Amino acid sequence: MSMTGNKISIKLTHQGVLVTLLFGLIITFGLIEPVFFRPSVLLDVMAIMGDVGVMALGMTYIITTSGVDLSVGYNQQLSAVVFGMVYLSTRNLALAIAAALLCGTVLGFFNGLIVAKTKIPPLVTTLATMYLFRGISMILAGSMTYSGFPQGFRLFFTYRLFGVLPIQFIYFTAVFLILDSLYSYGALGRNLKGMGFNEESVHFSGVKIQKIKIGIYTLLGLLCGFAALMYLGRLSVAKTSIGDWINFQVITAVLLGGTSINGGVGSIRGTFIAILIIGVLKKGYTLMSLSGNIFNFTLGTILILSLIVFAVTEERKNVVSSKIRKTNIPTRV
Amino acid sequence: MEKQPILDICGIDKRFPGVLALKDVSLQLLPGEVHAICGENGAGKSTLMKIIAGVYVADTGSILLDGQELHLENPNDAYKQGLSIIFQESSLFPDLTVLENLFMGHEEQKSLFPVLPFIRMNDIPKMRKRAKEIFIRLEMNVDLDEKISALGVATKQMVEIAKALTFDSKVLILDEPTAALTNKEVHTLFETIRRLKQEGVSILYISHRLEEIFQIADRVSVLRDGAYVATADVSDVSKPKLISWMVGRFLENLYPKEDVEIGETVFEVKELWQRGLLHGISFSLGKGEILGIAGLAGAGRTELALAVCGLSKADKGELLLNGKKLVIHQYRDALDKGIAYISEDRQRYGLVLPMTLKENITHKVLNRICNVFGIIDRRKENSITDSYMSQLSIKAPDGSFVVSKLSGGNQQKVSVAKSLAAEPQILILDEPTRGVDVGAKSELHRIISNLAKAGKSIIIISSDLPEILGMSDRVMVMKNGCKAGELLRAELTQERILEMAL
Repeated sequence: MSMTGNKISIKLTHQGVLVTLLFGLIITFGLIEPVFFRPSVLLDVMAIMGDVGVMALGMTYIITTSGVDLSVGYNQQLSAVVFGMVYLSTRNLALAIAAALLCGTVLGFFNGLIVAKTKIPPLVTTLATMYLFRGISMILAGSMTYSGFPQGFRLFFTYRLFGVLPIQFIYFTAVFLILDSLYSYGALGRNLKGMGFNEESVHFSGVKIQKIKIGIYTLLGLLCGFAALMYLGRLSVAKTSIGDWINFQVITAVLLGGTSINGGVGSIRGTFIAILIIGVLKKGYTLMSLSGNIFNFTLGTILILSLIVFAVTEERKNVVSSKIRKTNIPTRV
Repeated sequence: MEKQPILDICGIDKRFPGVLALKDVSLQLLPGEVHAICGENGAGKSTLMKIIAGVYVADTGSILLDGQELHLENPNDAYKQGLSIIFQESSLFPDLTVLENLFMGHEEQKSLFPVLPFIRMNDIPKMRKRAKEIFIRLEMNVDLDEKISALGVATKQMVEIAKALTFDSKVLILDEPTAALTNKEVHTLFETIRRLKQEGVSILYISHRLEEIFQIADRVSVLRDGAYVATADVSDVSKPKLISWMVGRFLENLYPKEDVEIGETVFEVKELWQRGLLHGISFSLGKGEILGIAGLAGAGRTELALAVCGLSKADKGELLLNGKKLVIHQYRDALDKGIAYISEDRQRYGLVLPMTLKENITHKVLNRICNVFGIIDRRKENSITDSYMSQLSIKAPDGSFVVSKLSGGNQQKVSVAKSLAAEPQILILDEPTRGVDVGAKSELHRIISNLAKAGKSIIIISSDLPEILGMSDRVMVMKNGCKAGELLRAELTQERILEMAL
């Protein structure tokens, strides 16, 4: 009984730490650069993280099953390119939107199919498809940029509710609410965590594992397609550099949010807060005119630190690693 | 003359958060004896062994090896001090050869150039020679260049024993060594133990199986709830006496199977084939009937269960449920039709250990307790959990307790509860009492018997002959993937089952 108590308190403190970190960063940036305290700046933080945010929410599902998808950024990129090409050749906005969403979904389905049907590890599968997707979009678009999308389309993603709340943030929150309720209260979340701990056992409970795998990779694909639209709506330029570093940001957000890279343990809410933290960093660095390299350096540091923290707390919590049991090494408990 | 003990365990206490796992345990292992340690699950056997092995550090007390205080930094130190422990799970490297495993970490070496003595390489001929000598001592014929993964369980165990001998171990600790062995392999293992004993090796033998203790051990010590109960010469104690020490009371009947009127046939399997594994198996099952499936390990019993449930694919065959043809593509179909399978390996297939009781018990019925949006109904979930926790008297504080913290017997009950929650008409139990203590075993048997009384049809796959004999209305014996025969309750004897199985 004391153990379950501990487990809950650890979860709470993890999210507590994230919230503290978030406010700490805002205050620090605000002290250095007082403009940061302006509501418009803080609201902008919410707007710029929408596309990375929805992908991170979908990625949380996958990392919970101890999988990963490295191809997210280039899926987003290819979907954006497809949008640009379809729109500029047909001038049909609905068709272009549908094409982008479909492109993302199909690419995600392709990932899911390989991961579910073969024994190739997701890391390797999506490393390969990452270059595949990038290759395709380079062949299609090269160094071309597509722009000149209609104002109506842009409004979908730049609109501010009541004149203040960025609609990107509302999309992000909506996806968050749906994914979180399925994750925290639904059968799906139960199965995802079970798969992260011990896939065979979940299979022996009559759960259709392959279906779930294909489903979650496809869902992430769809979210990549949507993220492509959000990105285009915000910056209105489709080009072949928008996918760079995205997978790294997405995975960092998920792990910082408290989802274990070993699977089984995770939190969509953590991912939500972690996205805001990364947004604050990004905005803060921009205001302080620090380069993107320093931003990436900071993210890398956060990533390695959250991995270490997790490894240590997990050892303390005595979580039986499914990997250890599979290889039959006598565990030191 | 009183012999000096080779391993002297004095007053060991070990406290874990919330529990005193061992209190004041003392044991003496004499040179050249086989000393059995028995006790229910959770009695502290494994903890004691892990303390001897250096995995845990005792809070108080001391361990003397050959009169010297034993200080172990880690399990590898134990080997070097002449103390070898063979765990239930193999600690061999499956992709390396027998020879490489034997000398892993302490390879025989020679210097490559006399002028540069620090450049050394493995002396393979020398290791090979020593390995051969050891296997001759064990009277075993093992191919030194075979990969471990290609060996059977029994041979792997022999390799572990041989590995212990490469360290010239004086003390050998065996943890449930016969758990995965067939009767014939157990016999071979016992021959080896006797041979080692004659050579003066002392053996600490941990086991649940009382029959084995009477066959192999010189003395036996009993632990109960972390405390030492008694030690006796095996020749001086009887089985009921030993059991009473373990549970603190006499068990009146180990197998409280009640007679149940067997109803009409509800389930039929006809000519089930699976390439290389199952050869045209047919059987039927009546309402309220318990069908035992006996056979040696590898006879195809588990394979049969998996094929019936859709967990593996049969090539040919027909299933009839209540006279209607049944089509099963995957396990979900079987569950929905009322057929549930409880795996023999609860840790790997039966349960998700790091998850809670509640999450495990309701895992097979999530589809039934969800609303249209896939959100779990907490009330239904809790009521299912509570009802099975009390029905099976699972000992845990509440439904949000993590399963990995439960004892083996309680884990097994959770595994059973998980399948019962699916409210099956046909229940297939694979080795339902493997690795559980005497008390839990008897309880599980009572539960199974009650299920039959309630009209469920049950298949028990078991290697434990007394269990098969005690529980079954009818027994099907399997051999090499074929059905060797069937016996009714009245004609059941261990000898007849073995005759068919061998």
